Amino acid sequence: MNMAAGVQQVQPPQPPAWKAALSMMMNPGEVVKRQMAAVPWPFSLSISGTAFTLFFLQTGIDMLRSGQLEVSAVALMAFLGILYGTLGIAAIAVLAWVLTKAAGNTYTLGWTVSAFALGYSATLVYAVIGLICSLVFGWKTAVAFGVTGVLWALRPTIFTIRQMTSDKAGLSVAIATLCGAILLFGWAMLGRFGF
Amino acid sequence: MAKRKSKHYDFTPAYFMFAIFGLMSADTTGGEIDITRTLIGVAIALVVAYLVINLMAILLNGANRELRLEKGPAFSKVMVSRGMFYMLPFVILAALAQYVLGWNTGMSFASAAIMTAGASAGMEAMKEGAQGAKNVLIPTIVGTLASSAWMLSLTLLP
Repeated sequence: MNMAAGVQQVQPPQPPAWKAALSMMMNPGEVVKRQMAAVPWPFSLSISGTAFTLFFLQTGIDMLRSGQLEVSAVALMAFLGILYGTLGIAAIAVLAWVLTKAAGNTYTLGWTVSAFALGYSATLVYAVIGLICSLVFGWKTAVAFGVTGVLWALRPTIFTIRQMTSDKAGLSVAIATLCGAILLFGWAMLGRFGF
Repeated sequence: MAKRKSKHYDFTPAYFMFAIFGLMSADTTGGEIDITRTLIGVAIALVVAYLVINLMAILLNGANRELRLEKGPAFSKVMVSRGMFYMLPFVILAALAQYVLGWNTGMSFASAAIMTAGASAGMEAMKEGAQGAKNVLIPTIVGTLASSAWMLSLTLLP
């Protein structure tokens, strides 16, 4: 509260974390600017962790159906998804935090990890829909839903990095490209692990 | 002194990025180039670029009449031009995915790129004084519809 001149100014209440997660899909810029402080990083990492778990699970199910994997390997892929969606995304966030420090980034590491991870809200939605289609209709959904879901997460990532660099366009694009490339190549390497 | 953003617009980089996506959309054979298919793919991409850029500019103008009168007739085009810059990460990543990892996912990247460019254009407009989330939602919807139409049009490729 601002007590200046004896006038109390009450900050508007922050929406709950789950609402911020939904808003991140449609208007990530607004969430990153005004709502991230109220979203705890464990909640955000649970979003990205679940998204990648379901995505890797779909990949495993597709490969199980085509006879390329056994059930135990599918479980292993799901576990890899948990690791990638939590530790992997957190590591990328830490890298971005370090790189933006030179641009005067004043956000905490916790805020950064939370913002990066919450950006995978849309990925989670795509992963859930893809898994339902896979289990109910027997479709091969890993590539179609997985790629689209991960690409939707790049948009909030770009907005997060813009916020951290105080909107320096060139630096934001460079760091976002680097983070995206690490994500893609890490995902490709883990995908080969199942072969 | 803070760097002032340009009041001019230049869509050449945006058209170039769309052309690269057009090139990728035509190359589904892992590197073998079919000239006819490539030319048609690039032509379709440039038509989509023209429509997206101008539609976004017209709608941003329509949603912010007072701001347009204050900032001048080029206001919305400057915003769209700035927003289009944020397609660049998607172009680079799409090229890496297609030509290094061997994934045929160019159009997925193009779709995400257009929507991000639209949302970025809206955010640029809001920084200049535009009010309301409509400035982000309208360009994003334009981007969604345009990329869907683009994907359908690829069925015309020989």
